[in-house]
Amino acid sequence: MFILRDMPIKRRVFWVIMVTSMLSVVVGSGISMFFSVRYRRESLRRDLTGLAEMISDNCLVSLEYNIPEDTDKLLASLKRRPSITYAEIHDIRGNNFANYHRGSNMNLVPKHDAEVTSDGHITADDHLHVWQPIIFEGKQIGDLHLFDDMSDVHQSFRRDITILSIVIVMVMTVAFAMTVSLHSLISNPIADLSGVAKRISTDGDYSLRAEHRTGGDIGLLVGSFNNMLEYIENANREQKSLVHELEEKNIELERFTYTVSHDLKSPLITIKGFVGQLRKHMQSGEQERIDKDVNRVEFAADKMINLLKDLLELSRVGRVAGDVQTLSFNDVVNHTLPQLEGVIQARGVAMYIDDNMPNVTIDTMRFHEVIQNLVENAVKFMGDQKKPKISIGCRKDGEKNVFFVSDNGMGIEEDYREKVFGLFEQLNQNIDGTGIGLTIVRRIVEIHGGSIWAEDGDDESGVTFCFTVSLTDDLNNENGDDNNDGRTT
Amino acid sequence: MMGEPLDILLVEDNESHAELIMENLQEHRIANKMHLVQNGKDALDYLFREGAFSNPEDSPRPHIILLDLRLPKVDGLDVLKKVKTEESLSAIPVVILTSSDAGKDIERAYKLHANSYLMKPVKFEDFTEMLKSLGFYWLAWNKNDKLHN
Repeated sequence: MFILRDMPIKRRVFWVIMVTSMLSVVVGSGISMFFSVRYRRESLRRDLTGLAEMISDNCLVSLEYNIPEDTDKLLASLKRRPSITYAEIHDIRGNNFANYHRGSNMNLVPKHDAEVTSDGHITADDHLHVWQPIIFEGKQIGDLHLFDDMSDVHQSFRRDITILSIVIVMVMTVAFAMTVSLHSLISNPIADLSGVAKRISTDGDYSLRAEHRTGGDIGLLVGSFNNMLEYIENANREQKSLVHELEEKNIELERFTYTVSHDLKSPLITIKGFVGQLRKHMQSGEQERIDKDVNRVEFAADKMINLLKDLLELSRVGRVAGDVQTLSFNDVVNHTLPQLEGVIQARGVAMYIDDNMPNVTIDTMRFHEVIQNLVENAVKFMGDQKKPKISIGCRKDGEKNVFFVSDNGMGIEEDYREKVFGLFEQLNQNIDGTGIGLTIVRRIVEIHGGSIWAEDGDDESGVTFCFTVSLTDDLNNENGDDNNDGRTT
Repeated sequence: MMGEPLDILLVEDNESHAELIMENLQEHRIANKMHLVQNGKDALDYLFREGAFSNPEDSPRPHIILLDLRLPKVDGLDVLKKVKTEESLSAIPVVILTSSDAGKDIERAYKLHANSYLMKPVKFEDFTEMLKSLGFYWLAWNKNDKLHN
């Protein structure tokens, strides 16, 4: 039992089946042979007793009248039973009256045993000895001894042994065949299972699965094992993606702190620097330089205020879209433009607005900021364009709706079109701004599942900012809000 | 203290900072010829004599480059890398002058063979003191390779 404990299941099943079948065959046949030997011996004894009675009845006359020739003849008839090796008849005085022995070899005469009962007795040299008193008219006149070498019994015992051996071989063959078929039913699924478990524990590959072939307990076990693996695999995947997300956020945070600390420090250096200059210039009384120093300080302080305001705005944009609603993009634009009327008119910019833009599902407030930032930028970087113009519209790019804000101003050189979206990135320090606007715009577009990029402008000059919104409805979704005449100035 | 006039290329996008640096250097009569560019692209154009600086007379070889790190268009570290990998420019001492004290920046700058890394102090007195020392060290005491234009 204890040896089995450390064996692989295949061998366990094999040995259990083989040993069990062997034991049952041997024990069963052993018991049956034991009784069958006993029965045969018993019936042999009965036979011999009957025979002895018959002989003793038939030799009464010859014994009484002392004619041993008749008795010899009678005993000679015993040769028909070859297993009887020896027989003798004694007269009343115990003298040998007649005898018989098989063949002529007198050595075959078995030894008499001390105590003989009429039931028969096994002699020392393995003969069955039956003794029969010869009684005539109520008086014993002699006795008869029959010795049988039990060769019949032995022969049938040998035959039984042969049959038993054949049966054992057959049973073992059948048992072996059964273990093989049981392997596929019991041990193979479990061996598979333990193989998979072992591979997982060494490789850590939770995408492996045990083969599901049978029903019942083992099927349930394999099924549960696979479910467990799937659960672990999913949990692992989720954990990995969370860690990845966290790492990305960390990197972003690091970059953010880095740029913020750098760019917030910059106006402070200016302020401190020019306050120092101011003190010097006040001593020397250079009024013109004093004014210049004060302007520098003021400018830097304003810059700081704007930086803080925009940073706050950036942090407010957050990471997820707020309340979304589905509406025509024209509504968004029309709602934003009035607030920009001042700057647009001051620069005399002509506005061209596509009056049939598709519906979008967006956080409207956030997209007001997008439009506002893009239009303000377009105006700010108009340069010395004589006929400034800005167009807002939507084009179909494959399945996607691409919205755009396009101008004919200074434009952005191709190399820097990606850089402008970075935090605090300003291509021109001399134009008022903090370098946060486009970062905010990109963040808003991205939390709506879209992307934003810069392309060539409308005419030979200028720049076009394009963006997608993944929540956009189809372009063929007509909107009825067409009260825009397509042009405002 | 004065020898022949020295050319300094100042790469600084913040006008106010540029003014502070130039004034302080001039105060100690160290910088005779300041050349100011406001972004990384212009700095490279100046050094490689391209675009607006294609005429060598407009872009004399500087004896020293004062380089800010956060620059519009081309980043300061990219400028540094280009300068230090260009055979004809790599001998020019490049002093990083920036408001960043991030260890990462310092490490990267030195790996790209910056000759010195200075952080702009917020305190005015420190600022002037640093520029004074910088001027004396790099422009008076330090022996510069005589560069050919």
